[in-house]
Amino acid sequence: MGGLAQVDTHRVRVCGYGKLKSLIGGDIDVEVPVGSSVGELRDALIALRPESASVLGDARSRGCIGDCLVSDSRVIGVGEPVEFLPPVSGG
Amino acid sequence: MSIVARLEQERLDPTAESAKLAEHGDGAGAMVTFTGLARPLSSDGEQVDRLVLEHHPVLTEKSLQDIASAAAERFDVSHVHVVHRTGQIAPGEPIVFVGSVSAHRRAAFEAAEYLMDRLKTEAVLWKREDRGQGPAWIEPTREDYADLRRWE
Repeated sequence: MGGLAQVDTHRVRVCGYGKLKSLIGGDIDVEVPVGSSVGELRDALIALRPESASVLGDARSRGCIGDCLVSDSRVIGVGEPVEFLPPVSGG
Repeated sequence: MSIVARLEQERLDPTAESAKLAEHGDGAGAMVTFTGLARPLSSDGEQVDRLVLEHHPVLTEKSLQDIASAAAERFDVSHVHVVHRTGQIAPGEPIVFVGSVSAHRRAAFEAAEYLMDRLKTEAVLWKREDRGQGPAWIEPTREDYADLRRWE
């Protein structure tokens, strides 16, 4: 054998809001290993689109799955879309 | 106790909202309202052509309801009222309306301030100013976060 172990991956649909949406230009699909966390998806998206680092590198930007805010340790299920919410501002 | 908390996509009429608030004023001694307007100038003095407020389909209205509920629990008020615009807003147009009804003025004033301090920093909205030099996303200022900490 001797080859590298094959890693199963899945494609995660990512939706950004506010400044992040303007930086990545709308929804984007990101390929990550199965079992990846939201934090790992965040890193993968920054690697794919470095211009998003100014928002995704901000700890106030929260991941969101199924309309619930989630921590970066949350593992992404196959077929689950992930939203990233940059710092909010109302009023 | 009653709570109104909602998003408005098209138009926010402070006079109409005040009238609705007054319907909850039976037996009260105080009614406080605040209306936030879109400023014609940015913080660095540049003309703002329009303000754009982007929202989340679920979490935005939920955040308004959570903030209104927290105000209702925290202060001795009989009614809390929050209406927030989303979409495109021209300079001078209302962005947000908050109101509170209470037996006494202090609780009504404090509830209105609390609502605004939390809305500025925690309402799930993204605010963009469209200016001549291009668009600029607006985040809460250091003062906004300091105002929020007053309630900790």
